Amino acid sequence: MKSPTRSVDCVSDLTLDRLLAGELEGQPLSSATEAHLSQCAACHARHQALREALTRFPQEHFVSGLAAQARARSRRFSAPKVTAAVGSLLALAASLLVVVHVSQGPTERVKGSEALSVVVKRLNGKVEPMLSGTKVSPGEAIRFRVVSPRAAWVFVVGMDSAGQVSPYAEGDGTGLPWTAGTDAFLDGSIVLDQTLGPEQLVALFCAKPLPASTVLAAARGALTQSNGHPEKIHALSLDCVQRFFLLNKAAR
Amino acid sequence: MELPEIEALYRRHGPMVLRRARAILGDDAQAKDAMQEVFIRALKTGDGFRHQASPVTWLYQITTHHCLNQCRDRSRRARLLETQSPTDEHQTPNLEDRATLRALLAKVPEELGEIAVYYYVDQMKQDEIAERLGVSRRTVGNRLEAFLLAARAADPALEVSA
Repeated sequence: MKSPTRSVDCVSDLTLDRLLAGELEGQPLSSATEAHLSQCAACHARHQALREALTRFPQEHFVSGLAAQARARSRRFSAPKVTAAVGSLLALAASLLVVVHVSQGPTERVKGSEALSVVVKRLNGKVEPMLSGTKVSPGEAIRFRVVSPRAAWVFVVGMDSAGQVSPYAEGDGTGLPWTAGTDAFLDGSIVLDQTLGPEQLVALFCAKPLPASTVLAAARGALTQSNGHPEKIHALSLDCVQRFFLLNKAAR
Repeated sequence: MELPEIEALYRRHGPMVLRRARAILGDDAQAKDAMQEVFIRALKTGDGFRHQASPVTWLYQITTHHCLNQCRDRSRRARLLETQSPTDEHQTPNLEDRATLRALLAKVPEELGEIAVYYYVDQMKQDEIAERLGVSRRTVGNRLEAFLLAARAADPALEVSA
């Protein structure tokens, strides 16, 4: 049987990983390993390589996004029970997801610019992707799909003709951490209320976390400047990539 | 667990989990997915993970099991699709070659695959593996021999020196 590359006296990756994680502090294995590293060029080089990988990791990966995604998924799996109302919303969300995926095919990761798209579930149950400006009616449900080639903190905000500003996605209050290259639906769906007229949606892709209050203040400022015509809003005074989508809410 | 704590967890252990997943799976995208699954598993255990005597050792075990399952699933899918990559007849496979090792990991029982990963990927000594798994050193030796027998059965051309 052929032995692994390092010699019999060498330390394993497990020992080196434990050393780097500080798990060997105060243990005899720590001093023995340190002594070996000072004498063995191969293990010393391996130790250095693992240490450098630790330094590089936060530069090469969007740690905040990975952590937020893992936390969200771990909570989703461990959620005990949901109410009937939430359950039906989840069912709706799932049905939207399934139909859109079937109709559009797999698009998990795409290259290109930031984008916001919307799918609607009509009152008759039909699910369809929307074009900006498409007519929608009270009681219909919409769901947002976001893509960003860069790591970002994402907000989705609505500004309607009744002068209301609605935050639809804001994460924990500083934006939703978004991993570079991710193309995904946001959790949950929005059932449209009785307010009619245009509602301008904006997805903001910010390079750093922002307080939601700052984002909402910018949206209110833009709505005031538009004199109650949200369809005329084309920019918020924020240093973020901005993508707009117009809902045209009308009675059936 | 709060976000800053989870982020610290990624910074401390992420490179290790990703490196091992890459070594076992041989695919960057799948390795990154595996890393996420491993951390989600850790978060789901909550205090169970935090109270581990050695979180590194725990993560080694979870990563190994998850990736071995992925190898087997991938192998199953490949068989279903009947996609066989062309082999180079002039090249003799050996266990130092990661591609050969990966192909074998998909075919052997998990308890043999686990030991093979610790031995060939992580370069652990047999007594270290024995301590890690809570078995005797003799058992580790026997399972490594069993792994090699299974490897030879799967690929008679495999080069294994004594």
